[in-house]
Amino acid sequence: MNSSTTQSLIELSAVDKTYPTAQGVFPALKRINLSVCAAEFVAIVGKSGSGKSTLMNVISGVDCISSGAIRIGNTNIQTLNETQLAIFRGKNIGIIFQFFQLLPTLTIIENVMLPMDFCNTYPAAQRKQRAQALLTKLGIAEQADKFPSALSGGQQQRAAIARALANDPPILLADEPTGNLDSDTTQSIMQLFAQLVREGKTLLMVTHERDFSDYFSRTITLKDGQLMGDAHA
Amino acid sequence: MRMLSPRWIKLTRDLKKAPGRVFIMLAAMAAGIFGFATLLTSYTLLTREVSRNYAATHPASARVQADSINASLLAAVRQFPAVAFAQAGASVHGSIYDAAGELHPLTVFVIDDFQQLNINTFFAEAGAWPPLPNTLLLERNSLKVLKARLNDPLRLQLQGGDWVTTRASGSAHDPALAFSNYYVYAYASLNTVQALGVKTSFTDINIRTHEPLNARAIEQTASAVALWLQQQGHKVGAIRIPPPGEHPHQAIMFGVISAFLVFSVVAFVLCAVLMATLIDGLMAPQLRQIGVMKTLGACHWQIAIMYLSFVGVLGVLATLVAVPCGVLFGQSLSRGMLVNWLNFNVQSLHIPQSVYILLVAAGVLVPMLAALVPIAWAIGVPVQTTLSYAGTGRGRDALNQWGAWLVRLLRANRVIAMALRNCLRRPGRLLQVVSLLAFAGAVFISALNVRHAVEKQLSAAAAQRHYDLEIHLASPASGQAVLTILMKVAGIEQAQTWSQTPVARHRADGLTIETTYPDDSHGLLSIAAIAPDSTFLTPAIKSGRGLNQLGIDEVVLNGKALHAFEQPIIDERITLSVGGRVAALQVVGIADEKMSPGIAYVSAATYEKLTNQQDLYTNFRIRMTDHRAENVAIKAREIESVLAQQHFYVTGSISEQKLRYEVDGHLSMLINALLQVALLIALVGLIGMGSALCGQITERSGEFGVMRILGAGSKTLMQIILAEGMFIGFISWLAALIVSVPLALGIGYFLGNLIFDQAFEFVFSPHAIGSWFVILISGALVACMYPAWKAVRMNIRSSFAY
Repeated sequence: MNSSTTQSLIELSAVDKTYPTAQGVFPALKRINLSVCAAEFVAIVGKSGSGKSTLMNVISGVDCISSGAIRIGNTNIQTLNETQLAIFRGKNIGIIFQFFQLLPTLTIIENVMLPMDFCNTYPAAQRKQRAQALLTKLGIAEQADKFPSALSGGQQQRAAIARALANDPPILLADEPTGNLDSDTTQSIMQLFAQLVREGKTLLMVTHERDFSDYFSRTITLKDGQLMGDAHA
Repeated sequence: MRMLSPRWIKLTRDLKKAPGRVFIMLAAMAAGIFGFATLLTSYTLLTREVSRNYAATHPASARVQADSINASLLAAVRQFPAVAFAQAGASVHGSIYDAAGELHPLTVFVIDDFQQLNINTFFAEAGAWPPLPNTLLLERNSLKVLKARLNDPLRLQLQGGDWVTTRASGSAHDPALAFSNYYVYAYASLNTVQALGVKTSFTDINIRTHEPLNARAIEQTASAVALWLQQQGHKVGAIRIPPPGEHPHQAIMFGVISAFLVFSVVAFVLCAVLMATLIDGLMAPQLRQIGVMKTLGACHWQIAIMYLSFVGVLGVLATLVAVPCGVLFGQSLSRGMLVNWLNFNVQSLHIPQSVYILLVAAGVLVPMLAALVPIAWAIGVPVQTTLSYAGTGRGRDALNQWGAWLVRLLRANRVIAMALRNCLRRPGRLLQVVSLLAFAGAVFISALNVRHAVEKQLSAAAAQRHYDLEIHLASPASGQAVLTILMKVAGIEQAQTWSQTPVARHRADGLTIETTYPDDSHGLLSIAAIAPDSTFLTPAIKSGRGLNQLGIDEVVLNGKALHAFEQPIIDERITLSVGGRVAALQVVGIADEKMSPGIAYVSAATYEKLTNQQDLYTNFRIRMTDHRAENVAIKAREIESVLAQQHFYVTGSISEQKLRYEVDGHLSMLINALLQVALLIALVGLIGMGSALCGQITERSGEFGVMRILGAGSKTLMQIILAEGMFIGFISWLAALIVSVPLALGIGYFLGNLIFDQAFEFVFSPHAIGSWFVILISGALVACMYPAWKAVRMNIRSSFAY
């Protein structure tokens, strides 16, 4: 992905997202304008139903917008078809889920190798080595050949982060990644995220936790689908 | 060794985790392919072997009856440009006793030269060839009919002559003859026939034309030969031209073969529906993982290839197992039908490469094509939906309301209520499973309905005959004299004369052309006289008058006769040639006489006028007071004995039971084939239901964990799952009843017209409906057992981990 340093990495312009419901059209996002630069660590906060996850979904291309535009790097993602979007997402965006979503029948190292396999970003011979290196970096190298069910929540989330980093994407999107973890593990995960941001990754994280403000370079607040606050640290 | 890429590792491990499910899928695919392979193999072999067997006999294109047949005359006939070969022949009719002392009609074909058979060829089977002097060569099936072995003494009489004893020194196989459980066929030289008391010579010139399948050319050639013979001063009798290239039982065999083809296509479609159901069951639990893979950069086509490859591999495995088994079973089935039911030899069980290619292509591609729909559905589900997928489909609100209404209506308890709502939670899946079972049920019911209709047709044919025994005398006798004797026999309620003689359509050139086979029976068109007060034969009258309301020169045609005269209408006149005499008769009625050769019914007075026979009869029909088969057999012997004392010799008798057996035997193979097909299709449908239920249980593992936590015991879980199966089974049964109506009508129309020249009457066989209900509900219970057992065994932790 190419983007000049002066340009924002993620640009949302007048983004609307609505859902049809039995009661009528429900607006999940209302005219969101947002710009995120490289190496920012952005917290997205708000109450349940405020549109945080929807915002993450439309940025990742997992969900499509109703109107407006989303540019990531030099790519307007709403112009991509499903296949192009999948490849773009695989190479440029790493997604970290609250419930880890590791594939249960793959070992940890195989889970990490999977994005490289789909996107063909690294030669087949190098994938295992790279996956092993990522697991070492995240401190779970000894768990490489275990299945997800044999790992603790914290270890599984580290594995999920390693998987998100597999294709070396510039952007990481994390949807309540610590929501399912104890406080000690949460702290270590947050430190890990901070380190990744220092290494140049751009990280958008949905969270309910207000205690992590020290980690974030910016906090965006959503309410009823609208951008209510944008505070830089 | 290079490591398998993670996506394939995932797929492999997913499958290893569910061996039972994979096995069921494999079994279902194999069952579908097996059915298709069996039916296609049977269709291929039957079509080929029936044609080959008949063609191998080089059947005569035509028989021209003439006098003074000798070598020079045959040589002259062979000079006709259209004649490929000509050969002398004759056939004499009589009676023969079997080993149990029962009489059978006998036809002896008189052979000019056993070493030079170029027309109506038959093949040496055992014993002497040619037969030893003054002995017969018996057709191999006739040996079974007579319950005799070679060289056993055979008591017979020919052409009303004296009873003589001879033996069969050899046996032969004649595939051109219609298979019979009653009629006896033999071959003998002219010298032997004369030694057996028949003063005969060769009466037929058998002709084979250069275009043996061209009916018009055959008729032209035979007519030209007959007219030339007349010009040469020979007396020419009837010309007999059987339908070119058609075995006497061709229509029935073609019906059976067509039934195979129809049901092989149906099995094929069913197989595809089953595949779609199975794959849908496989995809549902994978939805969330598919969503995750998409977030990791997997393209739609990459995911599609993963699952299609899996289906392809299963298809290959199922094909590898099922195609050889299906082909072997089809070969065995065909061999049984050809040998046991048709008296054919299987010349080769070879299956053409094209059939294998079709089977392999079907085995591999059809599952993949069928899988495309559920795979495309699974891949098309948006990522955010897959990540929160709970096993419910679109439109659930409306269906939930229906479910709630149904629960209230049935005053269902908690278990039934949950089962009903679970069934309705994914309407698409429910529709798919119900469609599969409804289709399978419809085919099952249709197959049994057709079987029932065939049986009903046979029963209806029997119900039109109101007599117990028909006897045939060696020579015409006074009807009054014989009837007087018969009525003195205790247990005889009524006896009537029965007159029947072959006829042909009249031609301007004066020739008589009949469409009769060499056995002088199949394909025969005849006129029959009905006594004015007769109640022995009561066919339904389709239009016009009945058989008992005929005046002079009036005729009622049955269905087969109607075809022979190209569908004349009431009040039109038809012109017949009766023993060389021309008769113009007015059609006054059309009778719906089932399972009968072509007969034109006239009054006794008209018959006497046409045949010039007054009170001379060879056939008599008798009604007993006791209609039981054993009584009729005893009375038949008594009648033979009583008539013999008065010098009236019975040369053949056929009871209603034997006639029914003979007629029914023609269709037994169709009936049995339909039953086998029905059972196969039922099996495929039930496997589909079991697999679909397995899928539903698997994707609801988490729910079962929650229910366990809330206090649901194993019994409750099992009851819910079994009730779901029963509910699906019940609505599938109802749907099958509806779908089977058009299906049974369509199949009945096609096969009925093919075999009986009229669509089968549509009847819902209670037996079929009841059988399918029992099969479905008990099958549903069995099919649910495994998923229920699986759900009960799953511990809470693993149910959430899924």
